[in-house]
Amino acid sequence: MLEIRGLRKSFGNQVVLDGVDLSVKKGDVTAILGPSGSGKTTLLRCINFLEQADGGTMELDGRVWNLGHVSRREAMEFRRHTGFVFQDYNLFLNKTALENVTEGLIIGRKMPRAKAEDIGRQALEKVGLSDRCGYYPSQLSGGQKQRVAIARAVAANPEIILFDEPTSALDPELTGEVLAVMRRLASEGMTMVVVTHEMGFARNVSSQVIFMEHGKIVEQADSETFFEHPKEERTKEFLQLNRRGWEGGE
Amino acid sequence: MTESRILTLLVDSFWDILLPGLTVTIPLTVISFALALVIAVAAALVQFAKVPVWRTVARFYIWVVRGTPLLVQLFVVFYGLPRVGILIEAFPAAVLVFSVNEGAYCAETIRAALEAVPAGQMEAGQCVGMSYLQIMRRIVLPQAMRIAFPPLSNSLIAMVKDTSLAANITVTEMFMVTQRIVARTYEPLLLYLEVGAVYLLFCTVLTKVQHMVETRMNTVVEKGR
Repeated sequence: MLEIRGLRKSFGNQVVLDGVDLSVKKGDVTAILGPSGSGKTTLLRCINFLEQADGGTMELDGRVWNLGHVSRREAMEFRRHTGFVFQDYNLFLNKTALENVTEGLIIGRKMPRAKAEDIGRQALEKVGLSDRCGYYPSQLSGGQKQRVAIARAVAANPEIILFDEPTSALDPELTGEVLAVMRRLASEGMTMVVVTHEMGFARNVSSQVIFMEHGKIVEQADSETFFEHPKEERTKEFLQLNRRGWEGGE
Repeated sequence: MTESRILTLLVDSFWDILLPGLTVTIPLTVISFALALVIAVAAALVQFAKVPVWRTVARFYIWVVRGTPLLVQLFVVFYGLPRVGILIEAFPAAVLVFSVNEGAYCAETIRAALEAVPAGQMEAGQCVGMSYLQIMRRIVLPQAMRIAFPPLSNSLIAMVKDTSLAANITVTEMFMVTQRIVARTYEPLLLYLEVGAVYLLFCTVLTKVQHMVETRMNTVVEKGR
């Protein structure tokens, strides 16, 4: 459903993404792994037009975007079919948990308030926070904030949700609750692209894994093949270094 | 001068001074500051959003207004402009000058506050399908105004006192009334101290209000991530 071809991005004369091709099928959970600075986050941000790519094309369900040249309206059109979850949550600080979920529905999509609040409550219930509707972000823990952010992404009924290191800002004891929510989404058939350092999640939840380095995709395979029979030397090395993170499950 | 005469003079003049305070100084401050905020938000927004031409206009406006004395601006508008056929009565002239002057300072306060709102707030708004203007109006500006509130209160308090300069362009506000009483009674020390005390009273009330509002904003905690 999502096809990216030849995505290129440089900051100044530093090449961050060097012709990335990516293909995601409906219901896929794609984990993007790679060392810091490999371009994972930039890839995700270019997909959602938070960064303007230098070139490449993207197709989502038959609609095509020219990544290097996109108008505000085209970017908005894409975003209305996708959700995005940030590393540091980016909840609206002046809005309650429920308002965070409904804001985009009521203001961005012109949905009637009552209907939006219904959807908002359901989304918060799904992430286990129905008792936190009226709380402001500052009154929530990191894990709760990230779950509200996931509820916000889910509420718009997106075709695909992009996650940018959703557990990297969390204390280890809080990552579990967020990963549990993501695992549940995956089991319900949500299409997800997840930039992550959680090897356990990549191993056990994702259906395909992409390993990136220096702005290029080194290896792309289904999750089992990737972990059990990696082809590239560099992948083997990376898995060896991170062995503790994925062996023996989460 | 006997003590009873001092007391009588202070009590008699108190109402004479307070009345123009309530009917001129305060309306002048409130109207001017409200207009100043409108100007300031506009001037801050065009800079923050990097609107071509308008941001240059805003920079030029702030540069000129902040770089010239308030008293000079009052004289130019009230005594100077009639030479080119623009006659503005004293009170409206004062409102015009005070709002344009204060707008420049508040614009900088609000611009800084807008820049202090984390960039992720804008990105999150884009990702849930909101337009730039919707995000500004509903997410970024409310947070910026919260940040800007203490320094804006500061500006308002400063403005209460600055309105005394309007006496120079024949606005019969508190200070001008006091000057007239002094001319009649020859008691400059007492009366100028008294009018100073009334300004102090006004500013004390404003300070209290500022603290109350800040406390209320902090109970609805919206700080941090």
